[in-house]
Amino acid sequence: MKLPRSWLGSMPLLRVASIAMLVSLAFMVWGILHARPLPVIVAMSVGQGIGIVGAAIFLFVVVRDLRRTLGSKRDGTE
Amino acid sequence: MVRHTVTSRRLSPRPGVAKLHLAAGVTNGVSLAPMEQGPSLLGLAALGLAGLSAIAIVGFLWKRPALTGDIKLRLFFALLVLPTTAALLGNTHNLETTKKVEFCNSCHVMNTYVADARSAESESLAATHARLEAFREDACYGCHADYGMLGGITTKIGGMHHVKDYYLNDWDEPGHRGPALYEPYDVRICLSCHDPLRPGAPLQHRVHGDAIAARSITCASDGCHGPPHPVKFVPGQPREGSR
Repeated sequence: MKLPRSWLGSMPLLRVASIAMLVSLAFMVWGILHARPLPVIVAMSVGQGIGIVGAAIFLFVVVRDLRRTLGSKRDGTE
Repeated sequence: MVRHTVTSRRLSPRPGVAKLHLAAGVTNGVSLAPMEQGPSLLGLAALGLAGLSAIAIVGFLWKRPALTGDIKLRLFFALLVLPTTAALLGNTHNLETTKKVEFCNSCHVMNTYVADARSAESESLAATHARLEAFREDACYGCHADYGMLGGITTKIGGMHHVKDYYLNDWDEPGHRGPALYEPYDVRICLSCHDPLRPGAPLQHRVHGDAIAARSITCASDGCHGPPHPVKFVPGQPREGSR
C-alpha cells in the first residue's frame, strides 16, 4: 500500500507527531497523578511508546528537511 | 489519615534489637511521615514541563503557522526537549512511587498485610521493620527488593508478574489462594543489615551457620523469626485504601 504523497509532507507529519506527543503526555500525567499499578505501567509502556513514535516522526521531518536544504544549496553552488 | 507516633521504647529480650512501640494519635516528638502523599518535586517538575509542552503543541495545532525558523525552534522544544525531560523526571518519580507502601496497598489483596505492618500493636517481623526510619514508607520494597546489582530490575520484573496475576485473577473468589512469592525469600536481603554470626551471636544462629551461609534457610522461616506476616488473606475481604 502506498501512502498519498500529500500525507508525507512536513506539515501533516508534524501534526501527527504533535497529536502523538499530546496523547503520550496525557498518559504520563495520568500515571503521575493517579499513582496506581495500571496507570503507572500504561504510562511507562504505551504512553512512552507513543511518545517515541511522535519524536521519531519529528526527527524524520527535521533530517529530511535538512537534507533537502543542504542538497539544494550544493546544487546552487555547482 | 492516621499519624503514628513513637510513644515508648524498650529493649527486646534479644540483645541488640530495640523494639519501638507505636500508638496512634499520641506524640512525643517523633512522628512517622504520612503514608499518602501527592507527587514529589520530580513529579511536579515533570507535570510542569508536560504542561508547557502541551500548551506549545496545542498552539501549533490550533494556529497552523507556516514552518519558519522560529516555529521550527519552538517545535524542537515542544516535541523533543520538553517531553524527553518530562519523561525522564516522570519515570524517576514513578519508579520511586512504586516503592511506596501506599502503592502496594492500592491492590486490595495487600490490605491485611499492610494493616499488620502499620499496626501499633503488632510484633510481627514486618511491623517491627516498618517502624524503622530506614524502611517506613518504603517498607514493602525494603524487604522484598531483590539483592544485587540488578536487583532493582529483577524486582520490577517480578512486580509485573504480580500485577499480571492481580488483574487476571478473581481474588474475591471463595477459596482463592493468597498472594505469595514466586521464589523462596532470599536471606541475603536480611544479611545486608543483620549479621547472624556476629561475635556473641545466639547459639541458634551458630548451629544454623552453614545453612544460613548456604542460603538454605532464611531468618523469616517459621520457628526462627517468622512468619513475617502472621495474617491470612481472606478472599472477598473488605477493601480499605484500595482503588
